[in-house]
Order: sequence, then structure tokens, then C-alpha cells
Amino acid sequence: MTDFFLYVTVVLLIFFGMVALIYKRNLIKIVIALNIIEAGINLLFIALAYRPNGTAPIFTLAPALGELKMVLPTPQALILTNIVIGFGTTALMLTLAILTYQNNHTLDIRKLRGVENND
Amino acid sequence: MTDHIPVLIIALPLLTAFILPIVGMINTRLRNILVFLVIAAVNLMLISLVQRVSIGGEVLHYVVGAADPLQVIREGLDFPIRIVLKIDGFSLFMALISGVITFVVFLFSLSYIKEGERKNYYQLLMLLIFVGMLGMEFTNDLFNFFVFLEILSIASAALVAYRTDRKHPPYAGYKYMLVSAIATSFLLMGIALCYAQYGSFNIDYIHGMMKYTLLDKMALVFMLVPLAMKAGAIPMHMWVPDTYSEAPAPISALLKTASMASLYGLFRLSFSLFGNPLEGGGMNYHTLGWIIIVMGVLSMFVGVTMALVQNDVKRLMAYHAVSQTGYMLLGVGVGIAVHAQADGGSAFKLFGRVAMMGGIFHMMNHAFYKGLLFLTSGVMARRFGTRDLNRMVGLAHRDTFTTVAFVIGALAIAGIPPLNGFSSKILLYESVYQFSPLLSIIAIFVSVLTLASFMKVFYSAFMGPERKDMIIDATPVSKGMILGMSILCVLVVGFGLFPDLVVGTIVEPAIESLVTIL
Amino acid sequence: MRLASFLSLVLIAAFLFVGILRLHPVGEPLGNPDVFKDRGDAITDIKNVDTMDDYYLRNGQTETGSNNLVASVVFDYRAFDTLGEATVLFIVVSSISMLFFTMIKRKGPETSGVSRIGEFPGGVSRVITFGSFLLYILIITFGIYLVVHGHLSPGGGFQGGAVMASATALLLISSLMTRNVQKTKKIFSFFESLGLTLFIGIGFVGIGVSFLSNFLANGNPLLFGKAIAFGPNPGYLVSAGTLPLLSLAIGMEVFFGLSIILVTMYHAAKDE
Repeated sequence: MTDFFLYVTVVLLIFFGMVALIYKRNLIKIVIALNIIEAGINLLFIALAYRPNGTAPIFTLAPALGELKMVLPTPQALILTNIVIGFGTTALMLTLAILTYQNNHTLDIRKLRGVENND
Repeated sequence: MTDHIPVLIIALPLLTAFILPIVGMINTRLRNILVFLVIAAVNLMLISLVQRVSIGGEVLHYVVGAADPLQVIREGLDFPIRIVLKIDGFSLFMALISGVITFVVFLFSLSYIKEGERKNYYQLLMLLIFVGMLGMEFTNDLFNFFVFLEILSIASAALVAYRTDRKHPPYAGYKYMLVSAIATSFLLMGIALCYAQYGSFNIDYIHGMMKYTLLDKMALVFMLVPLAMKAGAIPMHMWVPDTYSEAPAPISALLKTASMASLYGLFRLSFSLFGNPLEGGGMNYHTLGWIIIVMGVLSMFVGVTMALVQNDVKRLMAYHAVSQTGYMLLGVGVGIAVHAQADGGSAFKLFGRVAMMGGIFHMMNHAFYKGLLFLTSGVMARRFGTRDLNRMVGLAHRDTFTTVAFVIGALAIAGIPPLNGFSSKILLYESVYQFSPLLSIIAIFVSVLTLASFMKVFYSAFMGPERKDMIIDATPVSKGMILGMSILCVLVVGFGLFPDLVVGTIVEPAIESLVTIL
Repeated sequence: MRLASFLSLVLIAAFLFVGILRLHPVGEPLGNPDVFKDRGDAITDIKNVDTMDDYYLRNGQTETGSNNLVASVVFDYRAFDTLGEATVLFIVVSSISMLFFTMIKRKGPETSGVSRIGEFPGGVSRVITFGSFLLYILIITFGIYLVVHGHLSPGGGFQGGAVMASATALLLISSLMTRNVQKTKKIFSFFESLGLTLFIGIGFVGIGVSFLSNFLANGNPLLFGKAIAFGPNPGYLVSAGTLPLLSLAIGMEVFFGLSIILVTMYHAAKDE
């Protein structure tokens, strides 16, 4: 039952990320909200791969073969990919936020709304 | 070497993009030639595959990194352990669209985008959007699909914000990136649910094991909704007008094709991954079909009504893009809905197939005429220094070729014979009428409204007296731009005159590759 | 409106919650828990293998010669994903250079470090610059260690590259990087492209077998081909075939790519 909280944490992280995504008006805070959602999804992959008492899937310095248990390797590789992609998304969104601020002198989406209609 | 063509198609443009910053530092002419050659080479390889895949009905597999790249599943195992690329009729059909549009956009951008160090990055990102589309279309692996979708999204977002000196493009790019990031996050969630149950990412393998549990249905929602969002269907269309109108004109044309790759993903996953409904306990395909139909009809109608009131030429075209996406969803939705009917598939043979054919043929036609229209809008916006239709007049006096191109595109989007828009829309009208007359009537009505809306553009921007004082940029349209537009003109007219040829050669095999799986 | 959106959020959360109740319990993933039973020294042995992950666990070490199975998945079995991921990073670096181009050009060819003079009279304190220099060497060494030992211990190209790039950040804040920004970026960009070209080049060399295949593993020990016995062991630096090479290429790309992002953002955000 206690292990189950790993999944609950995933749902909570995604939920809080989405709450922040909808209620926050600041371009930078929206990026943070996205990162929280992404953390939730990464945690889901980790939870799917978990084995009790399992070591990391690395044979160097692993315990002897008899009691050897390893967590699944694929999800770890995938979240490595996903972390890098998330880093890229974050960096690009922050860049665009900086440029938006420079051109419009605000980071508030309420003030930016309608900006595109009166070109 | 022919065995390796599937991966070469993706890897060659990728390699070119990687060395492009260095080549661009040395010589810009050399860079242009290199990009031209690689896009042409990819297009040639794609055309060379038509004979084998579309006409011969072969399905090409390529296992990346395996000892034998053609052996999908190693002896003794019953699941693939590496990433598999798969080219069938539908993938090749979509890849051909992407190839043609990228080629045209490259030609158009040669002189449309000012030369400078930023143009190195522009061409590089354009090439990587191309790679992203090809990867999405060829891969048979869910996570690989996600990675290529990210490549496409991030490169597109950067190009949307290309003109950083203006007020709005960075914010439009931000919005596009936000929508993409949300969509891809939830797509990954769906992929995780599939992985949790079947321990694999291979689409064909998961499809073979599919048990249609509640989790599978959740995965379906998590995968199809983000892809519909990226394709710009109602009610997730709010990013479309901002993005398409702020991007440079050639990039708008490319983005339209890129969103079509998401639509490809939607169709591909709903057939190849979740297809094959079981008797009784399986997926309710009638409902899924109707959801897609309703989404399509709403997109058609809302898109065109929003377009009617626009004064910004590119926003107007963007809303029409939403509206035309509805036709594709309608056609394929009807196909899905009738396929699972309990009449032994007779309704599907009677009209469901034709509806799918219309929907999928419309994807190609739409990419071509909408690409053409976006390119002409680029000429218009540059001439008058604005996208506001009220401040444009009399362009026909100066740019005869652009006027002809615009008229061809506008008539094609309204479905006037003998242009290509008509040849796919007539398939849709006929078949959807047999399914539900009301839907067909709505589709025809939307076409009429589309024509009205483009009439407005034509009268305000092209007709009227020539006003030299309103023209800001009087440089003549360059050869590259004319060449790009004329390729699309020829395709639009040609596909309208000889639709049977195209349908028989590449559209039918595309349907075949989806339906045999279903 | 706020209430409606909150309710829809709660609905989505409830939807997710129903979903996770149907997932397998935490700690009981798919696959055979006794996957290592009766494992001999053969290169591939597919007894007791139920899923893709079981195959990697049972055969990843002997087939690729890498003790780190995550690395064997990242750089061998799913190397095509890694190529895509490296491409994403490359796109981001290129986009950031493109988007900040006009902004940096407007600021002129000033150097990136020395404009902070004034906070310390006579420039940055000697203690800071010397301390940073020492740390710089340590960080780079640790990063290279992580990259080179990617197939033996936790780490690899991405992690090592990111660690090394943190050294660039140190240089920036301690004003040690005083070269012309555009020139620095050109050099970095050259090496970034070189790393990526190396990666995809190894892929193309493997095309005799198939694209991105590990054609050096279990071959010539001088060319990273030393075979490894199954089971816990320290491993060899010269095993795993193309895996360490790909790791090196990625490490190079990540280091220079992240450094470009840092330099560009530092320079663009300065003096606002």
C-alpha cells in the first residue's frame, strides 16, 4: 500500500502542474508549471520500472548473481531522453519569454492578450 | 544499399543540418546548393519508393542498429527489441507531401528571407522540421514518434518567432511552444500507459497484444487528444491563427504540413494501434468515429465563420486551415464509424472507403493549395508592409503571376472544378451523403462560405486602382519565389485534371495500408 | 469560469486516479523476476525472457559489452532516440543563437566578462578568479571522467557534458571568459557540430551492417571490442564497441551546446 503512494504522487504532481498552468498569469511561472508536469511523467516511468530491493541496472559493483535484482533499464533511458527534451523546451520558452518582455514590456498574459489583433 | 533507404531518408538531411553552421560560415552559396541537393535527393528517394511501396504493395521495415536490418523480430523472440522504421502506403503518401512542400518552401525562402547569419539557422531549422515530419511518418515506435514530434515542435516554435524585431512573433512562438509542450507531455503519458501494460513501444507489437482494457482506452484519449490539438482541430484550435499569422509566410506553409503530420499520427494510431475491434468487449468504434466526425464538422463550420470576419489576410487563411482540417477528419471519421457496423462491412465497401479516400486525398490537396495561398500572402504582406486587407489595393496591376497563383489557390480551396480541391471534395460529398445527408450539406455550405471569404480577399487586395503610395516594397518577385509558386500551381491544376491517376497510384495504397490493419 | 476550469481539472485528476488504480502495483513490473537464472556465458541467451526489458537485462551486458545497461539502451538499442534527443538540443542551441542574434549584435562587440568591473575596485577579486580556475579544472576533469566511464558506471555523455558546461557558467560569473562573444560562440558552435557529426558519422560507418549498429563490440580489443563475461565485474575501459565513442560525441555536443546557451543568455540578459 505504501508503494502505491508513488503513483498518487504522480497524479498530484500532474494535477498541481495543471492548476499552476491555468491559474498563473506570468510567462515564467507557466514554464515552471510545465516542468512540474514533466517531473510527474518522469516519476511515472520510474515507478513503472521499480522493483523492491532492486539495484540500478549496472553490473559494476553489483551484488552477487544469486540475490541480484535490477530495476528495468528502458524507462531510465527514456526519462534521460525526456529530461534533455524538457531542458530544451524550458530553455527555448525562457528565451521567447525574454524576447516577449523586451518587445512588450510585460510578462503578464492578461496584458499580452489581444496584442496580436491590432497589428 | 536499397535496403537502407528508409533510414537514409531521415539521416541524410540530419547530417546536412549538423554541418550547416560550419558550411554557412564558409560560403552561403555552397550552403544553398547543399540544402537544395539534399532536399532533392530525399525527394528522389521517396519517388523511387513509389514503385515498390505504393504500386507493388510492399511494406518496408528497417531495424535501426540490428545485425540484420530487415529482420524485425529476432529468431526465438516474439517482440522487437530495437527501434523499427516502417514504410507503407500511407507513410509514403505523407512523406511525399512533406517532401514537395519543403522543396517549394526552400525555393521560395531563397530570396524571401534576407541573407545573413540568421539565414543559416533558418535553413537548418527548416531542414529539421522536414526531418521531424519524415521521422513521425516512418517510425513504428511510439517513443521515437514522440521524439520526432518534439523535434518538429521545437524547430517550428523557433521559426515562428523568427522576426524578433517585431512586437508579436516571440509571443506567438511562446504560445505555440506552450501548446506543443502540453500536448507532448500528455502524449508521453499515453505512451507510458501502453508501456506499463505491454512492455514495448512497437506499434505493431502492441496492436497484436491489445486487450482493450480501461487503461488502453485512457491511453487512446491521451494520445489522440494531443494529436488533434497539434493538428489544430476545434476545440483546441486557439493557437492556429496566432502562430500561422506571425510566422514568415513560407514557414506558415511548412507549419500547415507539419500539423498534417500530427493528423497522420492521429489516423495512424487510431487504425494501426487501436484498430481491429474485438467482438463484444472491444473498442466502440462507432463512437470513436462519431467523435472524430463531430470534431471535423465543428472545425469546418467554426473555422469558416471565424474566417469570414477577419481583416488580417494571414489570420483569415489560418482559420481556413482549421476549416479544411475538418474535411479530412470528416472523411476518415465516416470511414471509422461505418467500418465497425454489424452489416459485414457492406456499408464500408459502399461508401466508407470512398469517404476515407476523400479525406486522405484532401490532405495532399490541402497541403498544396494552402501552401500556395500562404506563399501568395507572403508576397502581399511584403508589398504593402501590412497584413491588413483594408490597406491593400490593386496588386493585380503589378504582380500578374501572384494574382494568377492566388486565383488558382482560392478556386481550389473553394472546390471549384477542375482544380484539385474539387476532386477530393466530390469524393467526400458523394460518400458522406450516403452516410448522413445533413453532414454532406454542411460540407457543401462551408465550401460556399470559403469561396465568399476568398472573394473578399481577391476584391480588396488585387482589384481596384493601382496605388503607388501604398506600396512599401517594390522589389519584383524573384525567380525562386515564382518557381516555388509555379510548382504548386502545376500540381494543383494537374491533380484536378487527372485525379484518377493520383488516387490510383498513391491514395488507394494509403487507404489499403490502413484498412488491412483495421 | 474559474470554478468551471477547476472542476474540469479535478475531473482530469479523477480520471488519472482511476487509471493508476488499474496499473500494475508498484514494484511488480512486467517481465520475469528471475531473469538472471541459469545465465551462461553465451553472447545471447533468450531463456527466461518475457519482455523487451528482460532481454536487455539478460543480454545487454554480453551483447554490447557495457556494464551499464542504461547506457547500452541509450547508445545501442535505442540509439536512434538518442540521435533525436541530441538533435533537439542542437535545435535549441541554434534557435537561441538565432533569436538573440539581433539583440547581441545591437549591444556591439564588447567582451562578456569585463563589464562587471566596478563591483570590485580594479576588477574581480584575485581570490575569486583563482578559486574559480582551480574549480574549473576539477569540474572539467570530473566531467571527462563521467563521459569516458559512461559504459561502466553511472554517467555518460549527457551527464558528463552537463557537468562540464557548469564549468562554463563558473567562468562566466567569475569574469574569466573575456574573449569576444561572437568569436567564442563560433568556436563552440564548430565543436558542437563536430560532436554531432561524429555521432551520425559513426552511424553511417555502421551502415555496412545497419545504421547506428554497434559494429565494434566483441571484436578487436584495441578498438573497444573487448568481450565481457556475464555477471557483476569491474569491466574494461576498452569494451562496448561504439558505445564509448558515441558517448564521447554526445558529451562534446552537450558541453559545447550548453556553453553556447549559457554564453548567449548571459550576454543577452546582461545590462537590462
